[in-house]
Amino acid sequence: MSEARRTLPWNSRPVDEALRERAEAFDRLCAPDFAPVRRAALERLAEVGIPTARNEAFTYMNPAPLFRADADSWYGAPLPSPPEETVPAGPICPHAMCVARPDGGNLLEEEILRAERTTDPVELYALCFADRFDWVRIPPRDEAGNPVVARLAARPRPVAEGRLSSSALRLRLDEGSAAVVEILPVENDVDGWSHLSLAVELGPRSRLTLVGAQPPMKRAAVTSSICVEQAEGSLLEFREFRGGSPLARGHVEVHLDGEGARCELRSLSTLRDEAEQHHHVRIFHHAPRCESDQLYRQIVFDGASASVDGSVQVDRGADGTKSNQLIRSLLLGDKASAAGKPQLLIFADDVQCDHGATHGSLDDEELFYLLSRGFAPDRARAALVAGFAQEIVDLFPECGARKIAAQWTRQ
Amino acid sequence: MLRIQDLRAVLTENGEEILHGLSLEIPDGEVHAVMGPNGSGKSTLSKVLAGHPAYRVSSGSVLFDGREISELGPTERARAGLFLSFQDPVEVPGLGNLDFARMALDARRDAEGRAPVSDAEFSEAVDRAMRLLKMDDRYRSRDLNAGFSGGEKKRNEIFQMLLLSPKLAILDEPDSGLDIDALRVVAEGINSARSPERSVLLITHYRRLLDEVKPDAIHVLAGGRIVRSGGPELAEELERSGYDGIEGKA
Repeated sequence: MSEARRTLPWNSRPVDEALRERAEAFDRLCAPDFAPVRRAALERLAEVGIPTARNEAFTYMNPAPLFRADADSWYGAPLPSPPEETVPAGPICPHAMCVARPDGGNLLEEEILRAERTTDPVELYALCFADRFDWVRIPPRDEAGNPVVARLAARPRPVAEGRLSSSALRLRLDEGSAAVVEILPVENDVDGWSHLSLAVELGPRSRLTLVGAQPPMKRAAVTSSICVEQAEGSLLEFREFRGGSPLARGHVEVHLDGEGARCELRSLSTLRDEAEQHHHVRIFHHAPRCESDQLYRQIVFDGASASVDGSVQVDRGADGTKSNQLIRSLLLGDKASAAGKPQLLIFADDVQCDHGATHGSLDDEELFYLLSRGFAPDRARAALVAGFAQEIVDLFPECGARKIAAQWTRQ
Repeated sequence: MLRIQDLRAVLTENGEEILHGLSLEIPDGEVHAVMGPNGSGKSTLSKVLAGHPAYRVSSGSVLFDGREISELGPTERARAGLFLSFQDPVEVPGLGNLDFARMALDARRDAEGRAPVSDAEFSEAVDRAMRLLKMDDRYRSRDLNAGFSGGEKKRNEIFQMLLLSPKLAILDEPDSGLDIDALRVVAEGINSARSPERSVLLITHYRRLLDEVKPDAIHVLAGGRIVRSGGPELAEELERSGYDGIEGKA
């Protein structure tokens, strides 16, 4: 395990007794098979600590509402995981319910190791109450021996009132395989917390298009933690739309472990009213000649707020790295706010890295161009905003997520 | 069609005067060329006429089709039938070229109290203009000027002009950056738009465009005002003596 994955350069407060008691009570009641994983997550969370607003990883978002410890908190509420009757049939992928890896791997050991090296405290907190893991393996060929592009959809658990509803999906693409995986939107907009934990292993020369769209939520907190490990020559195409919620955070971590691996991240957020959306992105170039290309666009109306805290780290020896990171925000309300923090940490000599962030209102010259063609001002602004979004939407494969992104962009 | 009288325009930002009492008249159906050295105010004139918010008319009048337009916004001017072909049109990725053209056309028709253009009518108009301008089919699926070469952008401006059929077309250097063949195509597009109901204000640096698009009159703009007006022969005089010679005689 690389040191980068263990290091946490933050100030945190210790896990308190209330949380420990809560997690232990959960252990006694739910899914005893996964108790070792939950204990590993709790110990790791104790190591990294509960984040505070002073933590560097939460510069733009106050994590306190997620980790509150008062009488009305998750701790004091019924056990965080929803009761069984509210759990849907699970990811709709037909392969998702296997409990042992077809290749004979020890899934529990892998989960414990994963918990031990996780740096995202939101993910760790959710893992302390995980009662179910769904594993999917994508082979390169179908039963007849023909190469296929697998198409899967995963449905996270709906939000439950006053509870943490956590879903965990593990995905492995074998060497040379290809898949399009859609994460369906979280449903049930009540005062609760939904967390999606997704870990992906991309085998050599495999190719994954990972796509998701979350319409806005008025009441629920929506978080996700996606970790992708890429072997040589693999390709990740990540497409997401976020409508925001009172508290929404997406952590994306990509490890380019094998030579020539490439990831392309395209994200669009359209936020209205008081919605928030915070992106926390970490790309690690561990091997030579890998490429990462990120484009984050945010359209922020009213009093909404958005942020992208993204870093690219290029390890020593990762020569021939190419990396591009661009954050663009449109601010369309007097109280709208956006922040972007692109960072580069380069320890190799031969690299090409660009990064930048721009935040502002619509371009005056673009607006004038449309007005000079007879567009009414409101129509011109709407057309420019739609165009700003459409560039990302066009990159979505044909699926429900694309429709959701287009729908909420048009509005 | 257009009567500008003693027009003074300033930069909105700091009040600096750019046009210093400019007067110009373009009758219905005529093509008038405005030539002048760099920084003389040619592009400023085009933007002031189109209502760019970076400029403010401080005095004088601009009568378009008998109506004072200097206080109107760019939308109203466009809907009244004024069209500006930009020297360097903006790129708007994500906004389809034809979607944009159709929305612009519908805005114009709406101002005239007409129904939105039908699919068949729009398709026919697009085909006709694209054929005339020798535009390949890729234009249909591309976004507005996104990734266009300089020449492609110029063609796209003329394409929009042909679709919108304005009463007055202000063409700001439609020839800059074009090779000979492209220049001829653009000129053909402009010539095809000539009609008794349409006037053209053609801004250019060079005579070669005027070999293709014969103007009814030529005006020399220098220092923010018209310093000389004449017939097509003025272009030849400019070719011989340059702007310095013309300004000296003014």
